[in-house]
Amino acid sequence: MKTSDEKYLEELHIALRWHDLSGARVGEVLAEVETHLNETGEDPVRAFGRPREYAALVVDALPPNSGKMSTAEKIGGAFTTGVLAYFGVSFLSRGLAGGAVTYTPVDAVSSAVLLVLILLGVALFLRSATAVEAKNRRSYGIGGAVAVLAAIASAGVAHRLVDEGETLFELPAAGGIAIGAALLLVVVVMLAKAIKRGKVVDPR
Amino acid sequence: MSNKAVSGRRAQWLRGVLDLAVLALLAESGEDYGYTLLQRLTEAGFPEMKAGTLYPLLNRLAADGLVRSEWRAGEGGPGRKFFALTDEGRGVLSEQGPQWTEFARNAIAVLERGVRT
Repeated sequence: MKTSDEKYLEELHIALRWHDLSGARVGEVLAEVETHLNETGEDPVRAFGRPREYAALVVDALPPNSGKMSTAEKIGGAFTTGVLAYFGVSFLSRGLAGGAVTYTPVDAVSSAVLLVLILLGVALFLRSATAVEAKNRRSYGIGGAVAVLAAIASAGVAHRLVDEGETLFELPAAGGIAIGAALLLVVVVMLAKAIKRGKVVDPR
Repeated sequence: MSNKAVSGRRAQWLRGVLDLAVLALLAESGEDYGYTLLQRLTEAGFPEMKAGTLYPLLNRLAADGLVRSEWRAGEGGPGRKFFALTDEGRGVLSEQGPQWTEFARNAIAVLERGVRT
């Protein structure tokens, strides 16, 4: 196989991954392209278009039930994992620090704002990674970066705008460690499932 | 008319008939794989056929249950993915093929009258 063909297949692999197709579907597409290029000797861009363009065509042609996650599923999955990881780390670290785990109105507001901005940033970065036009990639990428910077800034701003207020709930250190560890275990299981789903299988 | 406009119009014609044409070719040959299907479409006069157009279509037809696909080991080489019509695909071709050819006949008649004027 020519070096240019291998490079094309690598770029196509990455482009397909950004659309979050299952590993089985990615393997199928790569096998079709590789087989065709080996048989014809054709230039891959001439035969299939640029990797990003072909990945977008492949995804557009797929019906919903064929190894393609919808945008809502992708964002929902990322959001759920993010929330569980955020609270898992927060509870576990506070518990391990020895004190009770307390949550105040400031914590609730800053957590909510942080998670919404991180979610927006992730969604914009995903759109940037799968956009075919360079100007759209730039716009979404810049939007994602702005959202993430705003998330970082929000942590400091929340304490100035919201009164500390009464404690919303309090957990003993052991409770914080147990709940934090349980949430992080769920995150590990979700990530393991995602890795298994994403494993590329060559069908040949 | 610019080359881009001509090419865009031809792409529209192709989009309107390519799936039925692929079903028809598979009905003719029983089964086939991507590369030779591409050659047969080009030889039949379909303009600017590319692998990047055909393979997503074949996979969509498979996902819709109109064709089935199977990887088979090649003789001394990597495998090939063969496609064949399913009964449902045969049914769609039998029903929509005649409808399309009637539509095409009517369109040809209108255009030929206009061109002769």
